[in-house]
Amino acid sequence: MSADPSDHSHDAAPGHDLATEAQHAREHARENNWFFLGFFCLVGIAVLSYEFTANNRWEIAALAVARCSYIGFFMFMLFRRFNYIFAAFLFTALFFVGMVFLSWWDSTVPGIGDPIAIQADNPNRSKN
Amino acid sequence: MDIPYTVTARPDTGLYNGKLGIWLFLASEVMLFGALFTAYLFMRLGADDGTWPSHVQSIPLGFTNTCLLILSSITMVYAWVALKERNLFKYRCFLFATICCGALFLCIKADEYHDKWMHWGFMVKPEAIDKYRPELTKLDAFMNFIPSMGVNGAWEVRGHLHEKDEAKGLYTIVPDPTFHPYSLGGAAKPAVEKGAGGEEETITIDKTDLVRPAGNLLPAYGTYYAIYFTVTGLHAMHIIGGLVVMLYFLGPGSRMYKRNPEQLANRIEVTGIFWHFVDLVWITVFPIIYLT
Repeated sequence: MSADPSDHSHDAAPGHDLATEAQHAREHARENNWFFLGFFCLVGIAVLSYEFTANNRWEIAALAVARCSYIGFFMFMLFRRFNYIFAAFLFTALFFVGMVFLSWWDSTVPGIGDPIAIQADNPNRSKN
Repeated sequence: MDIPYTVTARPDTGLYNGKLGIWLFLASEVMLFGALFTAYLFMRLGADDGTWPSHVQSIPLGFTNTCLLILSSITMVYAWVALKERNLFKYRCFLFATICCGALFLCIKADEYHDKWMHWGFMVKPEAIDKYRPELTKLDAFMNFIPSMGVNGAWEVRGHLHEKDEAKGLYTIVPDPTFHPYSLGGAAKPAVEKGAGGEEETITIDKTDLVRPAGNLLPAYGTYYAIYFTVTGLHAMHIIGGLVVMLYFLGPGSRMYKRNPEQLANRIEVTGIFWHFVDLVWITVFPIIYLT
């Protein structure tokens, strides 16, 4: 296509409906608010997990529910065609698989284990 | 001569000039911060046991900064909405609110940097630690043994510098309390406890008892502080850059509203995309550097 500098017909924005555009902008802002709320929850749960030590099964369950709810909420925003329950269920399952993988990675299983632990066991490890 | 596609999108790219430019710029920014985050990860994984600092940042301050940036992203979007509604006053109010949040973020960051500047760390020889142990224990002060420091390891003691006598090589500090000095449940600042007579509880450390020269918690103190200042400093520079642009659009730049409000809306949208990116970088920085 041409980008002739003297041709400004495209910048005239034909059929420019201000009201519709303003409405669209407001909807866009509302969508953004949900998105930012998602980030806020992410940081909130990270701080909560860091600061709060679960001492009994109810506290552990409360933390797990908070995490799963967040995952469901965030994914629901990204994939609106799924309902909340389905999204929460699906992504909690994925999250669980991820946790299983990470715990495996954190082990000393050769080939997949945690490099820090394996290094620490190595007597030839250099000390600075 | 006017520049085309400053208001409407080019049919081939679907983007107007400014938006295409900012996305290209952000692509380079992602590589820059991505490289720094990767460097952090490798240094963290390569650190010797017990050498990586933990609980040395103020969580309440970091969390407040996170909230401020998220809030500023919301007000930034509403500044753009106000322009779409052709409401100049509302636009200025929201942009001003965004600038205030950004400025407050920088003030808090400056306070954190000042705290690091005033905070000193000492690597005490294992054979000398018994001189200080009774007082440190009495004050419930932080002590951490680092096996890889020096020949036989070293005891790290940290605290707020009270007095420094260069001639005698003596440092008087108000020691940090043991564990979680900065957590939500603890004190936001290092403990400056008062004794029975109202005086500060201090201890004096002799430089001859140290494995290496004492230093404040700046990049030279350790790898963690080097990457902390690099990443947060670079991020703060981005905040300053964004604030300069927003101040321009709040002042002289807003004159464009009379001439071409749609183009001004596009400029604010592009500024907003940059601001969201800066927000997103902080949301990544906060957990990896503060929650460590």
